[in-house]
Amino acid sequence: MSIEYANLCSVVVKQVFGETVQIVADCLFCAVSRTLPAILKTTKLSRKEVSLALAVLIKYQLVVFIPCESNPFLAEYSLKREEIFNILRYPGYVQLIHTKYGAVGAAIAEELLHGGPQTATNVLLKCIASSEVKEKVDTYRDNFLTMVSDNYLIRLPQLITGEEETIPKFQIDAYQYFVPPDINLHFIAQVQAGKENVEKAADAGIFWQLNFSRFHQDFRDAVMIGAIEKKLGASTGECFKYILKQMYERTDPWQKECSNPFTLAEIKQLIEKKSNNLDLIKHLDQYVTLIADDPLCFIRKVGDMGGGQYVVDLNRAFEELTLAWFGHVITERYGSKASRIFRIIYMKKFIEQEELQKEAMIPAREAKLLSYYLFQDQFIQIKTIRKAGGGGTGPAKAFFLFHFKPRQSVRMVLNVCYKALYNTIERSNFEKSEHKRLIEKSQKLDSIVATMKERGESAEYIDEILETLTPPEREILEKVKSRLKTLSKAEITLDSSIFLLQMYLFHTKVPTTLSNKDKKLM
Amino acid sequence: MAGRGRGKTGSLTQEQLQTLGCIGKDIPQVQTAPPPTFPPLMSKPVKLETTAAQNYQILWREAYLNHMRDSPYFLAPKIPNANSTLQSYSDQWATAVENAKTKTKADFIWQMMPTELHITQKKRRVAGGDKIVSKKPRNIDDRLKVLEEKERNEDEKDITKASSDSEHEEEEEAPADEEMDDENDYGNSYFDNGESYNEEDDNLDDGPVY
Amino acid sequence: MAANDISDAILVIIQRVASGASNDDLVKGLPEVTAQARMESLNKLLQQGTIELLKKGDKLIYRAKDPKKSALPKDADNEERIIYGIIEEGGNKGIWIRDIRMQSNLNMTHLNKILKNLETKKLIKAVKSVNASKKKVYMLYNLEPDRSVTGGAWYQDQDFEAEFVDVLNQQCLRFLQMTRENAEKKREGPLALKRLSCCSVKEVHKFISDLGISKVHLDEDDLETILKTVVYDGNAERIMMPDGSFVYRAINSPLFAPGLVQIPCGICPVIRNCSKCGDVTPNKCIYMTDWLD
Repeated sequence: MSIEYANLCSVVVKQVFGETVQIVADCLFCAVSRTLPAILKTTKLSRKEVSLALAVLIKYQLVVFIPCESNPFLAEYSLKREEIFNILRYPGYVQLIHTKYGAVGAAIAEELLHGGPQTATNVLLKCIASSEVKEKVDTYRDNFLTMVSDNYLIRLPQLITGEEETIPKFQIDAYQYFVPPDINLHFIAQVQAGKENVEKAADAGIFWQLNFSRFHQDFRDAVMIGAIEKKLGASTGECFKYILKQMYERTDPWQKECSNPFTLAEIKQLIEKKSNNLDLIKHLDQYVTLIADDPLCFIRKVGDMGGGQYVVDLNRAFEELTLAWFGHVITERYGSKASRIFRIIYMKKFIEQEELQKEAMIPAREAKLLSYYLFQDQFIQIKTIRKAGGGGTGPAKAFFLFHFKPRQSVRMVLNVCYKALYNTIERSNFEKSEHKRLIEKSQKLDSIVATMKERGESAEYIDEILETLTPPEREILEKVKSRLKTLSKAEITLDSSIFLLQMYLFHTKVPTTLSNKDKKLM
Repeated sequence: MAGRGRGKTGSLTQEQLQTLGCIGKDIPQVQTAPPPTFPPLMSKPVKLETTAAQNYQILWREAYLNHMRDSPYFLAPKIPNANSTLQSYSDQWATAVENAKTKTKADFIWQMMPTELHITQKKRRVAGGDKIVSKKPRNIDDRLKVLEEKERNEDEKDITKASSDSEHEEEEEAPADEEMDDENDYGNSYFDNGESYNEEDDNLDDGPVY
Repeated sequence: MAANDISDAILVIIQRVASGASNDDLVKGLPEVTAQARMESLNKLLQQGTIELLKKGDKLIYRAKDPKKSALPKDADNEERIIYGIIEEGGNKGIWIRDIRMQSNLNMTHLNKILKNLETKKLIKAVKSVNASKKKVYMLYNLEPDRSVTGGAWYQDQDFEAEFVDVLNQQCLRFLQMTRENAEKKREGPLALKRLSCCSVKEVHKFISDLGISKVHLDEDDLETILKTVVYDGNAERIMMPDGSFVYRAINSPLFAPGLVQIPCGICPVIRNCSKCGDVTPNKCIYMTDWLD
């Protein structure tokens, strides 16, 4: 966890939950866990404020608590750092659900994100009440159950009732995560009519939330399929999509380095059943060989059983993708000659300055300049090999070799991404506060006009009110809106870069000389 | 971090520079002024078209942030209201509209959180403790246990923390104050805490005796 | 015998022995000549430059010099002759001034004077080496410098022809892409497409030669170097054939432009100075201001 990551999480919390919660979150970020009195002392807020802030964070599953080791009646609170970062991905999750399950699914997902984890009955009631998407209750229920069975929704551990504990305890078994809840439509109708209390529902106490790792799995698949499609064509991309589907039959989605094997026969079966692509079906084995032989090394042949046994090599896949990513970034930052130098360095593993110039066919001066820029910004590293001094006279001769240490560079550039994301959020807050008066004025005007329209006021009257916003003000407002839109879009595209780098750190082998604490997703 | 590591830090010797390939004319000129804060950029950031998916996400995000800001879960430190004596016609409309929008009440499920967070729950226990005693004897024991533990915990804190005394008073007073503020309509002065007697005594001592 | 005759006779004997004749050989060949006469004749021949004096172990050897080689004019003094000889041995790779000094044991200023003399007489020339731009090597005037000195096809007057290399790079890439497009038109399945879009170095060489853009003659090795740079640019890949040679084909990158470079922070040179406060902050950033409008 770097300082850039901490700053980023801090502004995210402030944007969503306000400054008080931000202060408490910052306090928790600096420590593994803290007790309430410790938080009070550090933040100097009132007890009421801190308790409310903690309650909010716990409600949205951003903070967990466990009893203190020394005192089982005192709770220690710790922050779930990855979950805070995931807030940035909420729009992406909803968008994915929208593509898969339509507006109904999106409404369910939105409700879970707006209100935090809830029971199924509660969610459905709220969705119907919001009345933006007019559908029947059973459509909502069916959608909910489909999302559970597809693992997009996951059960939270349940409260162990019975004993009056100061610090509640939760428990869930692995098989219970996706057991569908008991949704009684009749009961829901009763609650809507006001005849029943929602707390008496059959599935009370069973809380659901979005299963982030399932979404991340889909994002990861999209990255890989997109890469294959761009490099090798649409049919090959489709072929890889089915390969991944087959892979999930027998492999845990988050298995680190490579998947369990699957055979060509299985892929063939799957594709013949599901695909409409004649070209793909005709040349299936060729497409698979194409992917297997490609330097991207997404899949690897491991045997001949069933027409050819393959594994998906996630380690190599993300290595290659990250290298391509670096190539692009370096091209944009320093020019195409610099990315040529970068590729030579990582292809040759270790190379000296002079040899580099010769291979790159770049004027010596330019080659030196670019390679030192890359070194200064830590995209590449220098390894020094010292020779024993020439017979004791003169300084020891040393060889300076350029090489590429991927994990180190990835971590460096990931921090740059975090900082960039922080910058976009800060800048959009700045833009909003600079033009706060104008934005508020236009918002008020819009709401006034809306109520006036509801009351049926005359059009002239409405126009008169609208004219309170002068044309130059309108212009400025438009400009501000477009700026905010650009910044918002930048956040989304930045996250796609961050995701790729995080996947790299997760899936690739850690070199044996480093300590194992690097393995966790940052 | 690259750059640091084994070997001497600091500048390289002439020999080492030569090996690296930095000779005479390649070494940059001596700088006479600090570099500009924002040196001119070589190129512009890449501009790609915004896809429909991205548009959806941008709009959703805006709606989400607005929703969260209006929710009862958005806690900002209280700032004094701006001078609201002058209100234009449109402002009056606006406040009317806003008052119509009632903020939904915060819905916390207190059973799923440590009791120390739910202050109102504790208050009820303290105030209604007598009632509970007669009905459920078991609760007293639990409650006493809890209080004992808290005392012990605070005792531990006495030992571990240096500035403990003032803290305990703060902690114990704070809930008491909160109770006063939230549950009762009476001001702080209604409940006599006995301090005024001392003052009166002082006055009696100092005032003239007729 | 007349002095001239003696010299000629000695010369004949010496010329007969390819590796050089020793004093004893001369004595054997011309027994009537006195030691003094022999000495005088030998000195004369040496001065003329028709023979040279070599030392083999303890013995002195006289070797006939190829008349073609000794272009040195008669008025050259001994020192110049020695220097000339050293430079001659450098062949077309040339010899560095420091090495000349070590072999001749002359001091630097004196040596420089001699070298200048020889240069003005157009007997030797200085050639800049591409390997070390400060190093000058000397070689005989009429020799063609070796490739390792001039850098071959890529160097014109010791300057690296960067634009020429770039043009070749572009043209090679274009050829690879054209081959690939042609292969895509024939819908025969993915592996056939891959095979048809591969080009060997020969094919590329023919294409470039037909284009006629190169003034300098380029051989296949030169083009292989260029093709490797296309691979390093990430625009092509290099596949090894069963016979050990390589073929090349144009490829696409698996990614679009990364998110990081779509915003100024990705290309910002002062990002390491950027923070919440100070001169470089996101709110004051002029790159952002430019980009947002």
